[in-house]
Amino acid sequence: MSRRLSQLLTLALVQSLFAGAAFSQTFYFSDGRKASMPEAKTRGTNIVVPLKVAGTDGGSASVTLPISSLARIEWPAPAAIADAEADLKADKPADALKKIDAILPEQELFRDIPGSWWNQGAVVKAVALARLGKDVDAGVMLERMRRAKAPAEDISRGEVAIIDQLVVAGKTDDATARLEKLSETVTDDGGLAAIAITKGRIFERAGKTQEALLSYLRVPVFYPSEEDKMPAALLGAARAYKKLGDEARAASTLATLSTRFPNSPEAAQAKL
Amino acid sequence: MPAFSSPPRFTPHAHPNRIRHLVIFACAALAFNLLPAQTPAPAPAPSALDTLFKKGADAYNRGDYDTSIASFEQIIKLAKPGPVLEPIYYSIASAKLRKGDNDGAIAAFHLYLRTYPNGSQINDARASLTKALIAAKRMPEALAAIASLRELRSRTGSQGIDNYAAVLGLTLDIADSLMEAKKPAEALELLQTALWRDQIIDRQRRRIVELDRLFKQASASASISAGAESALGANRDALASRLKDAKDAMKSVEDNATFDIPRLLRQGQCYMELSQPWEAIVVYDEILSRFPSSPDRVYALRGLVYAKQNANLLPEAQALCQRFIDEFPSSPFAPEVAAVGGQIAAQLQDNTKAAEFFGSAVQNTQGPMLERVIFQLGGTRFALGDWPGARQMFDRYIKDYPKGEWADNAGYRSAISWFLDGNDADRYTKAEKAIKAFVANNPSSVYLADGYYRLAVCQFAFQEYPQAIAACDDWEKRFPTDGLLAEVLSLKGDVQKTIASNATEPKKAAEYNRASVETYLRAASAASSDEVLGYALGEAGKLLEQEKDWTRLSSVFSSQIERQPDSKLVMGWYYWVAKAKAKAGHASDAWDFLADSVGKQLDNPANEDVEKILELMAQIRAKERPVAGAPAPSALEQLTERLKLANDAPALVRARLQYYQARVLTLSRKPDEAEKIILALGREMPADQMSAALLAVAGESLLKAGDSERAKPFFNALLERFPSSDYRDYAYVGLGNMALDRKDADAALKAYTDALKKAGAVHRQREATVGQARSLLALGQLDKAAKLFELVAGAKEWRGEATALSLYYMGEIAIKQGDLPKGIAFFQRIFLSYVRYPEWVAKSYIASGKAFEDLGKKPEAANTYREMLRNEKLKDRPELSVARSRLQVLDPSAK
Repeated sequence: MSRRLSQLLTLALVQSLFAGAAFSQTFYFSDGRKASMPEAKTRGTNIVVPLKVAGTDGGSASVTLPISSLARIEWPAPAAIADAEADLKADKPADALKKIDAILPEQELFRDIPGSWWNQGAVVKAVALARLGKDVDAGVMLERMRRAKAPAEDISRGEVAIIDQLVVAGKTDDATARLEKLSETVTDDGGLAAIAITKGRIFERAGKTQEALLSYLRVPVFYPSEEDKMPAALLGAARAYKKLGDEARAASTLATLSTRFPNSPEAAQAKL
Repeated sequence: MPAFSSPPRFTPHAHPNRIRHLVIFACAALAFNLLPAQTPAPAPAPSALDTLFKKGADAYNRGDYDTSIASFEQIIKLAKPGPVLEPIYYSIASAKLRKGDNDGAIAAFHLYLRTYPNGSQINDARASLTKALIAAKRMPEALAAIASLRELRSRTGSQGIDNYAAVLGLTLDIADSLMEAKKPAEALELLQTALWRDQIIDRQRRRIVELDRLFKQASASASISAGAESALGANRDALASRLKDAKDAMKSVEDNATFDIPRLLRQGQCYMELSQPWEAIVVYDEILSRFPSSPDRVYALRGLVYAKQNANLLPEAQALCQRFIDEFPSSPFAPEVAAVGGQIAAQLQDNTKAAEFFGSAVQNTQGPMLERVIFQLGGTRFALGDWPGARQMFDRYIKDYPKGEWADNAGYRSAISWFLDGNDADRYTKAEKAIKAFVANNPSSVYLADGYYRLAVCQFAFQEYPQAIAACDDWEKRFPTDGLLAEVLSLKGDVQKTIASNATEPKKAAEYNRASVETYLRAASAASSDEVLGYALGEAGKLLEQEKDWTRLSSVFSSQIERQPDSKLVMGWYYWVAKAKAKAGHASDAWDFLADSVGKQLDNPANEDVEKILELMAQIRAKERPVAGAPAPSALEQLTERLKLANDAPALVRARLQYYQARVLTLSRKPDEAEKIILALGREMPADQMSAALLAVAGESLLKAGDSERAKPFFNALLERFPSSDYRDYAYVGLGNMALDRKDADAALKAYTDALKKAGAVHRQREATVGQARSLLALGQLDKAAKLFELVAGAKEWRGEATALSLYYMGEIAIKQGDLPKGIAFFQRIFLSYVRYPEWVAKSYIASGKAFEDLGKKPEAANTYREMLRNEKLKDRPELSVARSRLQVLDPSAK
């Protein structure tokens, strides 16, 4: 390709990219070029970008660039991730898994590229698998996230989901060992709150009601802004109060649960 | 709850350089663009503004804030408005804050924030505004101001603030103020938004990176820009100063590993104020586990004591009090914590521990709390029966606090401590003197009625019976409506009964007995407690029984049943009615009456009278003569038919019928058959459904059969489910026997002592006493053990195997103490006088023979063994082989 043509193509590429829809995916390549979908398409491990040659009438060309040459991508958050998260919140892990499986393969190609939504989808999948009792599959997913250098918070979230499932299955020794190991690395409020709740469940199953209560209460005491974790913590605390014979505090905790989190599955459970 | 002392305060890093760099920065800005304000007046020369600025800055740096403010305000008037004046506005506000003009500072910071809503120091201005508002005690506004800093949680770098720790300091100030204003919920909400040390370090670090970037940028600009050296250099210097401050702030936080303690302590305090002790426990536990060696943990430990006490975790709270005293013996809080420990121990009925705590509090307390703890120590010693100790504290109280809140109580308890001191032979004389003195000195005491009652008791104790009766009558005139009337009438009845029993003339005896019955019945009518009611009616019943007045006996208790059909004592009254009927020759009616009465309560495990009624029915049934020609139905069949019980009756009902059957068999001299039934109950019936009496007898039977594993849950269930049962002594004795079997003499001694002290040893006093003696022997406390064995051996009502056993052990103790002849004498008493107990006879022969051998008296030893071998009753005893082998040694010719 002559130097002139190269310049033209470059220019056209830039123009075509700026013409992309505001919400479409945009690829930023390491060499400074960028391209947007739907004009640009993925093919295998490459991105094919159509080119209009300046000064020609309807003449076209395309350039194929490897995905590995991407510096970052701008990709609107797939709605399926939020939907699947909502399913998890509503305790519908099978629905969550279905939704996340529908979009995860397209993110897979860009897994290691900054701006990809793979990690966010992967953690939802890991949690859904764990809640469905498929802790081995969940573990595999977490391992892949680790290899993809996913944020520690996402990995710990999946890890807690697996441990929770172990607790449900009565494998509390295994759960305790994994939780202790996890506790050494987690520093974010969300992860620490999740660990406190899981510890509470382990104590509860072991009949250590007082310890369970103190563990559940760590969430409202130290992580009051972790609203996602609060309903489970409050429900656990209410159960513990009841077992300790403190009906008044049990009732007041349940009242807080149903007032502050009326639509949570825990509030529904509390009414049973 | 006591007021919490102020926990340690975190002092945020000060900013000595802050105003300096602000001023420098302002100088730089002015130098850049000192354009005249848009006024008709001629613009001042830049040099004039420079002069003004220098004057203001110098004044500021030497603390002359008025001059500084005046100079800067003059600059604002003269200079063109714009971003360049931002530092000047900021400096004026800061100067006002420094000089203590809080209202002025507030107005100036508000002006700054309005004028420069995106200013480079906006968060610093918010923080300083908050500080000024706190100083002006305008707390609602301070709260609003600090709320504007909450976003700092998510803001870092260029969006942040130079000193994050300072914000925490302000947060604590506002929280303290809210706590003072009794607004713990608001204080808690504020504290929960504060950043933790790790978060502060993280944000401070990023802020430093940002300032460092700006500083390097400014340095580069200053080095390449000619013509504006002073401005750029000043900007560079200002950033260098801010960077240094930020680093210093960072270092102060990094160096302070216990940085989070002050906010945690306040958080715990908020939860306590909000009656959320469990949340407070979480916080205090966190402090103690994260900062195990910080001196400030003293506050957390103290808080944890109160939190656990409020959460009703009393044993844990008590243990923490002890831990506090051990770890912080010289803390100013130690006496207070000791007093709390005493209160908790008293609540837990651990009076020994309570006395220890209160004793420590009395020793170390000064000030107003001393009055309370002296009184509490007296009260605890009083509860322990430590009468001299109690008196010592009460007397000290009266001396030190004659007008104190508890002076009347202390004075009275000191006086009656003489009355209660059973170890003092002259107790009634001393009591009379002390109570009379109390009554004379405290004519309006609330304890007068009790005092006069006890004075009457003293008369009774002095055997001055007419005076005692007169004292009771006098009491009734003085206090006709007092709640003690039933007790006083019971006392009068006791006196009359004693006069009757001492009377030599039958007429006088009968007269006083009748009077006594009427007094007891009056006492029963006046009784407000089951204890007095039961006592008075029981005494009346016994007297009527003694008088063989069956009609009156039946009538008294039938009327009582009608009056109080739901009383807890009603089964006992049925007992008396039935007994009266049976004694009047209507045994069958009595049995039917009892069967119908007990039938309603058979499935109530809590009613212990059921077994007593069944016992009486068994006595009646056992005395029945069989009808000639007709096979008598079994006791069980008869009762089942009377009660029309189905086969699927509850387990407890069936068990109680079996118990009845066993009692009939025992009373019919068929103890082995009875024992089989009780053992079967133990083996087949669930412990959690049985009554106290059944748990007691079945547990004992299981233990006798060697099944201690099954017996233990029976005893435990008895103690746990029936904590005030009369039958608890069975459990304590059983558990003591088990402990002794496994050589745990300490545990055994405790169990036997509990049988006596906690359960009153209603049924098993002999076994408990023997057990105590055996435990003491096992613990090597020979003298104490010997005293108890002597007590058992000397008790006529316990004569039997317990006597033989006690004599044997007394012999063993004598041997151990080296007095072999004395030991032999004990053994000989057994094989001469207690031949019905082959176990102890056999053991005594062997022990006696051995003692003779040890004395070198071989012929006597050989004769002892020979005599043993001749004893037919010992032919199955395993000890015989020992006797044979010893005889072979002593006399090889013996066959």
